[in-house]
Amino acid sequence: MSVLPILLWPDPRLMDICAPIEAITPEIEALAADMLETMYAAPGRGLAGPQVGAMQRIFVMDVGWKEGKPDPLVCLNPMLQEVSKERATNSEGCLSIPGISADVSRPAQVQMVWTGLNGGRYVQSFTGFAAACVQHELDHLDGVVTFDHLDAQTRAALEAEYAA
Amino acid sequence: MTVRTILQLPDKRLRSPCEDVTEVTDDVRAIWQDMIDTMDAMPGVGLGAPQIGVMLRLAVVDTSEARDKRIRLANPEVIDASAIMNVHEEASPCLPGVSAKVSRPRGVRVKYLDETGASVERDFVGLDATSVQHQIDHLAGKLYFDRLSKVKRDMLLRRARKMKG
Repeated sequence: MSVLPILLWPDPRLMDICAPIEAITPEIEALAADMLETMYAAPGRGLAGPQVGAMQRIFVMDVGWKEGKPDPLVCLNPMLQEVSKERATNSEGCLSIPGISADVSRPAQVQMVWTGLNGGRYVQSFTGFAAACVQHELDHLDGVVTFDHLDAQTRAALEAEYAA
Repeated sequence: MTVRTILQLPDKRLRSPCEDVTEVTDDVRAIWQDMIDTMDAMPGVGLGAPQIGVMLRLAVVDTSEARDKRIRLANPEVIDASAIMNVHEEASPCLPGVSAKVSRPRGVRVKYLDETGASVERDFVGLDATSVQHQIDHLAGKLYFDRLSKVKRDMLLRRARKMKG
């Protein structure tokens, strides 16, 4: 178990598409444990593989641990099966873009399917902050960050603030 | 190890659904090898068995630059598809000279028999996902342009006829 260094935007690895995980190996199990430890240490509520340089389709998430008990979730090869027409805007931070919050509009409700560390298949609907969080993490697996959801003007202003 | 002739439209075999294989035998593995050789010769990122006149639900995919990530699929079925779509310019050696932007789920989970005959489920994203879905269409007698609107489809077929002269 170890806390991994978190890559910072604009690291090119944060702009690349990650490969599906073919098998749940001891390396993947160790990576998931390290990613959870890194997320809790950051502290953050979600962390995706490429943020620690692992170019594989994995993310970890725990949206409630700051308020209650830890409830870690490890998602392998996650996929959005359904997205609502209704949208919601949340202020999103990102461990790879420290100090910056961006208002991102996304589907308000999503149904996600993924493989767990035990090899089981899971399907769950997410709403509210959790819906934004799973979409934010899934974006990382496709090389997308919060900046990519903004109009050019807002993006330029936030990029300038980030660079400062 | 043979590069086979690729059928051209309007060959009816390209419009006919294929049959599942009952077992992954050496014969099936030999067909896959011919399909890989044919795909590499095009060169292409995938091939469905009916494209070489074999009416079995067999496909091959390889989207790697090095052409060393061969995926052999028998009886493939999409069991989960992403709600997020991806647009890719698709074409087919069965209808040379034309191509079209086709929208498909950007990720899919596919169940199939692999080269050992084992039933596996595998996730595909990006170009792999596009190619796997394109090949699965072939096995059902469908072509990529069937996914276009009628106007776009008719235009593409007219263009293809002109190319043929």
